[in-house]
Amino acid sequence: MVSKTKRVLAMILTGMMAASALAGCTPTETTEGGGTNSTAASATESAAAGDGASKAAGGEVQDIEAMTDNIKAKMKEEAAATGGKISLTFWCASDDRKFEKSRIEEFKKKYGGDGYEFDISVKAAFGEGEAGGKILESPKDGADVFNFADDQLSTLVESKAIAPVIELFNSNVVANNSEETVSAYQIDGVPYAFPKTSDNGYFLYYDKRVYPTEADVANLDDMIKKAAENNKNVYFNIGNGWYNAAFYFSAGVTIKYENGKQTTTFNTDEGFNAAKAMCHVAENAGKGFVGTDGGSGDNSAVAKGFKDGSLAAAVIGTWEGPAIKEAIGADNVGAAKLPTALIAGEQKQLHSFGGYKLIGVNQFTKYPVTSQTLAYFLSNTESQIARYKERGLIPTDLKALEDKDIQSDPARKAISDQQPFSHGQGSSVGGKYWSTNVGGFGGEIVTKKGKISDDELKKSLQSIQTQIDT
Amino acid sequence: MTNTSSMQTGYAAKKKAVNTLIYVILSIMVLIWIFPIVWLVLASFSGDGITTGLVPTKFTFDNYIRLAQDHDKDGHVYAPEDMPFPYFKWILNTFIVAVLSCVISTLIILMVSYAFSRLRFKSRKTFLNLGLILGMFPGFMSMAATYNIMEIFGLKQNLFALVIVYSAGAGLGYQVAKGFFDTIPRSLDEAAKIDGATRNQIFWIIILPLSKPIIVYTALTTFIGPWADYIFVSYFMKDNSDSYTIALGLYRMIGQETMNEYFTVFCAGAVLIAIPITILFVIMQRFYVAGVTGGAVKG
Repeated sequence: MVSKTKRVLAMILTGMMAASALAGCTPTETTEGGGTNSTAASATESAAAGDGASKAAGGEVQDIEAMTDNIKAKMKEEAAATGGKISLTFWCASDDRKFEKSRIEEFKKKYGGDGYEFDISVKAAFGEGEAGGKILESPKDGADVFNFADDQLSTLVESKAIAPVIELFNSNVVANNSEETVSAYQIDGVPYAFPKTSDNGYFLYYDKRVYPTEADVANLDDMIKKAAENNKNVYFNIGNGWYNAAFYFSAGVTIKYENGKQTTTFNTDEGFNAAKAMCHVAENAGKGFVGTDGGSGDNSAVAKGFKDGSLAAAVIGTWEGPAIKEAIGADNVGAAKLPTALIAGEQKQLHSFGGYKLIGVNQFTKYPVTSQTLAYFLSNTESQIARYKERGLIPTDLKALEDKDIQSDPARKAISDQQPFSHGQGSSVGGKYWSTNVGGFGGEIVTKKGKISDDELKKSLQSIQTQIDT
Repeated sequence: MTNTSSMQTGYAAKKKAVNTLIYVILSIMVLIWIFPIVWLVLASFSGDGITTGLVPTKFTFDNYIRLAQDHDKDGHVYAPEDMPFPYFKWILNTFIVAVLSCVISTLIILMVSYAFSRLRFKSRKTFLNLGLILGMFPGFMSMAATYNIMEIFGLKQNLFALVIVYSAGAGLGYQVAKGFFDTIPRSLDEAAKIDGATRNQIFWIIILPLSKPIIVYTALTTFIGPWADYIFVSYFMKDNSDSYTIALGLYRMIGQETMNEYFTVFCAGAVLIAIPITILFVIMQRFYVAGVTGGAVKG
């Protein structure tokens, strides 16, 4: 009796486990999903063919205005399958909802037509930081059009959750953006998203009362010295792999992510030079230099530092701009590209990750052309200028950047000065990079104030390289 | 003689010392326990933003006002449908889910417990053990499967899906209520039976009126569940922020992008949410204590 009960129990429990394990797989493996996937792809193709688009990336620029009627015809076709109604879901950050809604109203006015109507719901649950992950969780429940940060692009492409951009739109995006921007949304030459803002990377924010001229912020050593004289510090979190990549890039270390493979050259002279340069800076830790966030996160460390007067400058991005302005007054805030640093005996410009926020289209959408048109519309010159005026986000579009207000924004200038020395995250680093000790090693340099023997530095670099290679 | 008195004073002194030590330790523990709450309340009145110390330099009610009527960074008030964090809507959602699942779960738990306590049927023991073991597995283990089932029923991203999820497994929580029913003399049942009452009538008319403490206890615990659950809501509601419950909604406030601006508002929201639940507990406390101990007499 007892043994029988046990057996029955065991069977039930095994069954339950198997059921839940299988259920976990369904979102990506149902035949239904595969079906939508292929129809979406074929629709994309037919749309491209129908619009007479050339297939080559960055091909001839096509006049979208002239195509408006063709696009409307496609929308009507897509709407016919669902009773004349186009129901789209759009994800954006919660504080962007009001603005994005107003732009979507413009979109409806421009592309509305007889025989179909739009029902676009703007949902503010997942901002750029989370959207990619939430799409991956279950692509078919995800938004048709969503905003995300460029570091999520490679995983979205790997799991085929994001649709390639139709050539009609891509030719225009390529024409309106710089090469660096274009490389940020392409993977292996295929365009996957629409660039929206260029302000997701890092550069230098500084207090003009400490550094009155731009020449004062040209060189990291001088900056630290001057900060120490004023009993203040320069904040540069080299205990974080995202920020300390600045030194490796500048020293000439290769950090590349291609075809799903991460390649780096940490275990080289260049890698060693970068580590030595960090040690040199870290000697000043506590006397003019702050090299870790102290566990509180960069954002609050920087906001707090400027507020209590302990920081004179910080390597951080636009997201902290408002907090810094509030802390020291808008007139005292300066922004510039990163300074130079002493690497292998010479002053070299520090590089950075240039971050972009992108708009993507879900591979599983029922309305591929409508969705892509919406994504294009929200990233065009007009929308980017409006986004700057309403939300203060720095455009990528070259024509939008010529706008007078944007021209005079210090953050914009810093970003475009830094751009030649910036690297796209999607083409540089994959998930594996972040699981190595590259951040921990930087943190160790700071806590030991740079007093680490050459042999030990080499050993650490070698172990990071091994982590990447295996 | 002197010997005894000195022993007595020695004993008294020792007792006093031990008591003092105990009270000092207790006081320190009280401070540690109460500190997060004091900190939360102070932060909720802070006008300093996220970099607040323990005592804010600026006091403001703005955090509480923003829960009802939010504004953007430039001070423009959001229209109700544009509110990034519709706090009171979420409270209402949570309340609806909590009340419904409280009623359903309580009924299920009491009925299952009564059956296990009074009826003798084949494989009763097996079911008791099975319930105990199944109850040990966390409910979210089968989350993905449950989500797909709800989708088949057309209840995707719907508040009623939550009600079903929260009350469907209620029967597994029979232990405490069964323990309580076991303490009610069976002779009552037998007397009622002789008078011609059915099992059903016995349950509703005889047993339930005697079980106030355990009813209150069960209702309270099932009512609290939805206020605290995060995992199921976040998996079920996904992007449908209009149907969030309060735990998920509050957590969204301190997401990566909104943390800086909304941290103190989050604190205000956390303080407000504690008020109704605290009041409920204070009112029900009398029954609550009786309920737990009553059930524990004979487990």
